[in-house]
Amino acid sequence: MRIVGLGLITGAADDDPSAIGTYASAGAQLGPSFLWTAPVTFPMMVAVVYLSSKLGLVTGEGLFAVIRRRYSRWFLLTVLGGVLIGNIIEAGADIGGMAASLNILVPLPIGVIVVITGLVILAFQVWGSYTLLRNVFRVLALALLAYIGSAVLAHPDARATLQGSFIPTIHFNKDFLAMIVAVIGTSLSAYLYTWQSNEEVEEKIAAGKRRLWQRRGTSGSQLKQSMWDIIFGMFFSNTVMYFIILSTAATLFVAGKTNINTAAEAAQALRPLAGKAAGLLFALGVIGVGFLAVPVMTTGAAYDLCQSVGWKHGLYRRPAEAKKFYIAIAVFTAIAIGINFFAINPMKALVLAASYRAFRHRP
Amino acid sequence: MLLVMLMTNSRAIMGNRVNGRAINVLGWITTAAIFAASVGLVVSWFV
Repeated sequence: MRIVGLGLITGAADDDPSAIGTYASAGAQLGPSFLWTAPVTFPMMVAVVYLSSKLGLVTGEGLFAVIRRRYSRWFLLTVLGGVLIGNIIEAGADIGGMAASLNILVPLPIGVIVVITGLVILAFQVWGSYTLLRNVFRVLALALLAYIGSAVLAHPDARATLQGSFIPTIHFNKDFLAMIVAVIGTSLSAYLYTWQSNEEVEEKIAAGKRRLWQRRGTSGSQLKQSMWDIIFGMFFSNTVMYFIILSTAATLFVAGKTNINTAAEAAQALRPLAGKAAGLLFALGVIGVGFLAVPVMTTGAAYDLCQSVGWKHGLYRRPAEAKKFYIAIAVFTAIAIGINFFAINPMKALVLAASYRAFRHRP
Repeated sequence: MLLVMLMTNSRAIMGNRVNGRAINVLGWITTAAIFAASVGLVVSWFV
């Protein structure tokens, strides 16, 4: 029997702090006429995640383990390199985004918050078992419901909202097209593919199928169940995306404050316009989902690396049983923390990650 | 995404569970959208 909510976790990870920043900035800059992108990207998200899930269910292995079996080594390493760099930069940008939002609530130096947040996330990944992490993640995903609240508090104009949601408009100017590119790169990010296949494998192991030959193969009813779970998860993800765009479109765009770059900036700017509560909800959503999204990226990168080189891995194993896997998690998380201090400021990392994300889809 | 599409359509990997038509159409549309976005991004560097 499959446990419900894997799709929910993947869907929530897709609304990570840097994605929230992108959606908030899209709403502020382009207003309600950009809302239709949420329903349009929804079926695409389902396709991407469902295929990854199916690959995991049928082969009983993660995506990179399959690539390793089927493709040449240089190809494997090229794809791996791209994914590792992308995941780590984005995890770093997300930790920075969480710290900026926490900074609104806690008056500590931003550097201190970055380190504390990063270490809490690291401890959680190392000492939490797969089932514990999965259960906590399912609760954290609900933090995103904050954005429905903040959109309601924004009192959107009904007519403009409906028009923007159902009538796709494309303006052929640079800003609009650049934003569409950024939103596609953000919502269809590559870490989703690998994560879903790994989750399916961990679930099979949690159900007692510890050997590969036991995990091979799946049934039609299991695939159907996973399809519905993923449809639910992606629907949740894109509903949240929709309400993030709506909450800044109804406030910041209307007020002419169109230059918003991060989620924390949006939270600050919302306060005078939509009330303290709306700004607070915005910040809380970033923090809550950050604790889910960063592990998805750093642990996800560790899965990819270990599967590519054939090291023992899996959150179901204790740290002593899969040392290299957990060392990889620790190193990746440490680099993600470190990015916030060296040369690249969080804002630049965010832009870099978004550009990189769109680009690395090519292989 | 291209890679995922190729793998889930490979009989050697998926056995009799290769993709059906509906999911393939959707998958290729998605691949095209991602590809278009990548091209758009590269173009935006030069504009």
